[in-house]
Amino acid sequence: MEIDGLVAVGGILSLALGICGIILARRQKDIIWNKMIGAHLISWMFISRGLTQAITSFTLEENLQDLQIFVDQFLDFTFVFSIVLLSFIFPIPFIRNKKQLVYAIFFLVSIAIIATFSIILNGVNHPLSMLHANVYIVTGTIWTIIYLKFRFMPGKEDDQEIQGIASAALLLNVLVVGYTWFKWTGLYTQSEFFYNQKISSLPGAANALHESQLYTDYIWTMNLAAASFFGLTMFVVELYRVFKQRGDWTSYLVIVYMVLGIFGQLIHGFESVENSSFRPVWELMTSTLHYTLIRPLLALLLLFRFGLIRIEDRNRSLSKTMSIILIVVASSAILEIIQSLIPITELVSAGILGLAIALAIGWEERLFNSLVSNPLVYPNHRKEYFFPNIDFESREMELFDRGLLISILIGMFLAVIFELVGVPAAGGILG
Amino acid sequence: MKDDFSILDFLMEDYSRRILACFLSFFMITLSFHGISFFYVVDVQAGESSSISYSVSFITNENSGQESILVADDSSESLVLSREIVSIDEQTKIGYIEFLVTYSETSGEFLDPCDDVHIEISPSGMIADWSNPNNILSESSSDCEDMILILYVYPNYSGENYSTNESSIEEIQNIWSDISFGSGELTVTIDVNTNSPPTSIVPSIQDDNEEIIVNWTFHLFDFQIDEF
Repeated sequence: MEIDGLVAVGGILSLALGICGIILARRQKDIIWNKMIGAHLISWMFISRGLTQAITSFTLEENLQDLQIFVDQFLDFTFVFSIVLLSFIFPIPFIRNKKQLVYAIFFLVSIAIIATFSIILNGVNHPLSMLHANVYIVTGTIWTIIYLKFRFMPGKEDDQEIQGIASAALLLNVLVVGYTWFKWTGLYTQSEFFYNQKISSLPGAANALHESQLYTDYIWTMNLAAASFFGLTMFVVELYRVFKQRGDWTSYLVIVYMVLGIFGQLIHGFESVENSSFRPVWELMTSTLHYTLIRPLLALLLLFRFGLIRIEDRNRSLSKTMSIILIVVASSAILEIIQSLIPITELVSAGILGLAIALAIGWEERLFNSLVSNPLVYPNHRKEYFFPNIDFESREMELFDRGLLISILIGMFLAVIFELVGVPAAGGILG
Repeated sequence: MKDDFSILDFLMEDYSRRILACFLSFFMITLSFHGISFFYVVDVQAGESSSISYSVSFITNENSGQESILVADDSSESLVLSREIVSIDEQTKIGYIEFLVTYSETSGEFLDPCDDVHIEISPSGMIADWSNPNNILSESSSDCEDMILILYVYPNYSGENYSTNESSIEEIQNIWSDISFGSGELTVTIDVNTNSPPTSIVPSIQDDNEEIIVNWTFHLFDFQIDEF
């Protein structure tokens, strides 16, 4: 049994973020409903993703591989549908009342049921079983539209609150699809490295077991194409903002991702480096790093900087613990990767690392303070128009959390049952 | 006020209408561009590690011929073969070409030893798997032994059926459908050095040529893919 270390660390980070996030979200009172539900959704998103990554970081024996695939697939439903629901309500709620929220949940559960039956009949690689893979198109379109609308709101170009909504939409897009932007140029240069991306190339042992089928691959790369287009749109807009001297840290975040994507074309696109040892290193330092470590950090940023979780005295301690765990574990893992790539002995690099930590002591606290200071709040401008008042009782939020927990438990239960019954993950019972 | 909200209004508000129309148009163009590129332009490696296994079986056929060539002492002759010369149509795939070269001492003189014969396939002209380590491109004999030469034309062809789940049906078809292999002319050069009989001191008794018989066999194939 082997362990994919980076995926395992990503799993731990996601779980830590999710569990601390849900505790903090449940303690909150007097917060606008869409942010409250948003905080719960992001937390459950990362709990399900953390469990998936923790389980799929192990390369198991052949007879248990189907179990891994099923766990990956069913927990992915919770992860993906949490993202979709999040896009319906945050940063701008398209859902206007409780009834619409119930309809949206019902719709997503229906898709999960259809996909589950397809998994039983056709296996996990069938396009119908991968219905939920179309999430990037749905969420990305919503967030990019919100982003464009608020970025270009006339007379509000310097309004931090209006621009904050656009930045939240931008950050959500980076969080969900940022790892595809390291290859975005391949879409337009019709490069094989873009069009031949498979689910199996994603980090994690269960992903590696996914098998390629023409239409499943098409749907997958179509989502990556859509994601690349959203990235390009934001790249162009943020370059314009920087040119107009209105750029902020979110501008530079997108620009860095997309410029790395241009370098990606050079690294992936040339035949001469096809078999070079640098390509896997590049993959590791870009897409894989985003997929495993950067995502939880961006989520942390979203939760705290955009006021989804408000830091108050009674939750300050847990918030601090949560951020320090995430920041320290992620930075240690990144340093470990860099250390493994630098051609010097481990003892020397460990010494340099120790020196750097000693000099920067207290940095994690300083980082936490800057993270939670001056969180962005929503605008008063047409507040009622964009943010309808919906009162959610704590009992309803309890029900919401239980529903998401049960979806994870059902997913794991189904995975075990399918494995015991002997449903073939690859081809289903009809295959 | 909140009841006035509609997604349509949200999208169609004055200032954002043009921006969003532009965004959605380019989005549609990008998705179309991706679809066309995926299905028609880029060599997409679909079906890797597929759960579906395919058995690939070869239907083989042979095209044989024989040429008798008289080669003078200390000289060489060439035998040129091609699809057109041996009447193999352009769609037929050539797996490999085998040569059996035979000769005997034909001078009829008493105690005349076998001549030295060297036969060689020139590694150019025909599109073939020239770097195949199993190729035998040259042979020599000085004791009238038969010589065998083999040129593998179609890469990776051995004639043996196989099964795979590593490739899609399209990939398998692509692997075995390249009719460019076997096109061009193949040149076989035969050198002869005669060995004179002990009686050659008599002026009328001379061994100054040899008849070399070249048997060639083109191993042709077609393939069939079955899913299981």
